Amino acid sequence: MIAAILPGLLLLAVTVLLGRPLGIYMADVLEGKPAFGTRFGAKIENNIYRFAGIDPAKETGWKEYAIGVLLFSTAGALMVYLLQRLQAWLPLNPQNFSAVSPDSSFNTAVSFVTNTNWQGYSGESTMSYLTQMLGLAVQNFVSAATGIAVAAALIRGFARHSARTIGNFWVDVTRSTLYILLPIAAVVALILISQGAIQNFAAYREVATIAQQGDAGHTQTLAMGPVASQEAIKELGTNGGGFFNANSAHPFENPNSLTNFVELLAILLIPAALTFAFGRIVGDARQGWALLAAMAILFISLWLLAVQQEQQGNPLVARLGTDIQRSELQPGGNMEGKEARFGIGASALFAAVTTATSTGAVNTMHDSMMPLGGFVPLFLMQLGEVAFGGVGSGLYGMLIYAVLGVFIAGLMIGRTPEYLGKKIEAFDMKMTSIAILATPFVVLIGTAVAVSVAAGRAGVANPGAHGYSEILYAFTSAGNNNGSAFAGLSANTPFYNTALGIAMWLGRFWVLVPILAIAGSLAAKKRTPVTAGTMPTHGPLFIVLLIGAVVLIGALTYVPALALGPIVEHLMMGEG
Amino acid sequence: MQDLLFVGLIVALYAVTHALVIALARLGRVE
Repeated sequence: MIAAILPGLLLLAVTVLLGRPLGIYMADVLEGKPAFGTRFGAKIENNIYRFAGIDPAKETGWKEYAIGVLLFSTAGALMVYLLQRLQAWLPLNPQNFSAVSPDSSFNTAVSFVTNTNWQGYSGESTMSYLTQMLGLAVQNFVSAATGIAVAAALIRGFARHSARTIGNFWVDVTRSTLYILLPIAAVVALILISQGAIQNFAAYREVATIAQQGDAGHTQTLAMGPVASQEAIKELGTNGGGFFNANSAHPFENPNSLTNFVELLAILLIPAALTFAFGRIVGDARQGWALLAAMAILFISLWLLAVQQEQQGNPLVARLGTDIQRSELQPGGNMEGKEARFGIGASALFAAVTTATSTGAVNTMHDSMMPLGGFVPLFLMQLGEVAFGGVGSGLYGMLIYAVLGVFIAGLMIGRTPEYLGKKIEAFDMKMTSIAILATPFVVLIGTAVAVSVAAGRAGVANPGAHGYSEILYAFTSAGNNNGSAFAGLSANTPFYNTALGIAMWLGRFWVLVPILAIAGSLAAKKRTPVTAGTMPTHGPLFIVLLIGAVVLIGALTYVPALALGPIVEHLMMGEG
Repeated sequence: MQDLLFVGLIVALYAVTHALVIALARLGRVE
């Protein structure tokens, strides 16, 4: 158990170590201050504004900011849709792939602009290199930048007072892409290439398999492509859509243990750094540390449960007399669906990291995890992916829970709730309620519809509790913009492509819009002076309150649904 | 035909979310 968790502890330590300077840098970039690289990029940045007709000095209120986000994302969705439908006639298609079907194109277009990156298709047998690069990889960058922009707007809401504006969306998205995502993604891509991830435009190669060399009947097709560049932003932008169907279990995407560590670090880095950026912009670093501590406690608790469940393995297999103990000769535990290169510790860690954030990349098949092992990624998503959360979405999700937490505390002690000197009033709580309830509404209604209609049940490979978990997982992943799949569910059908596409859109924008409304409302308020009666929001009491709010909402909303899936599966396994 | 349907669906999703922005902005002004 200790050996299985050591890499995870090292990962968290490195994340905090690198996250702090990155967070300070990000705060300067988002505040428009000079920072490393901004002088070099200023010419490119100004040319982008000139070309797009943007006045970078003009800030807007929340309504214009939200409409900017929506127009930008809708234009992106239409472009990705068209690219897929027209790829057969466009260049960089050495395998001559035909046009993607309309329902799959819709699903993928919405999936990538919402930062979900759910994939109903298999990348290497569906998408041309042009679609992968110009459609999917571009959205990997700009959908992540959109998340950072919205988080920046909400931070400004807390930091400003008596203000009518929350920033300029076009400037935020440009600066986030240019100064944060592009340079770090380039470094990560180079590290991946140095370790064996591929980066080319070659046609697929036919090779003789080792065991059958010389036998013309036994060849294997190796898919090629510009993988490393897409892999880097896939993790860094908490996107998760793999170049290949096997995602980060594929050796060309994730060649070895070092790249596995780098990919995990890339996933956690920006969400963790944003807590430091938050502390810097609001002028109190302790506020950021408190959020980070709450995120870390939530993450570690559920990650350790996954490791324990997977290392313990299936008792039914043990009862058959099979040795499932960890030893020098074998990893033991539950190795079904796991890469032998990574083993149980790195697989359980990846599963937890990818669902604690809104990434959805996988190096192990979640469908093959133990019932409570599979419960962990499911529940981490259902908590709203706030530990550490997606790029931008993790921070704004956690801040919404902070608002809810101080509201609950205010009710208990009979005082008007305040957070960072801002009074939390009726309008703010209405927006908080919409932001928190939109996703469970989409997930639970979507799951209920899917299990009720024949088209929904048709895709289930394992009828019963596990099949229900597969459907619940699909809508949880779509509604929370995660994108990982439980597998076992044939989701590339008109029903699932359409239903999950709608779920992804509502799960992204019906959360993001009320959050921007809160940003606008908070920015306009006066700052309340700190008194002896003000609840401190940087200490252990607040951290406990925050964790309590997240778990309480998650538990109250989803436990009945979870009881029908992974929990009943676990109990049935215990009964034999 | 199917292309029209799915492009229309993207535009419809934009429209309902735009309507949400307008509704919340009005609510904000009222309060």
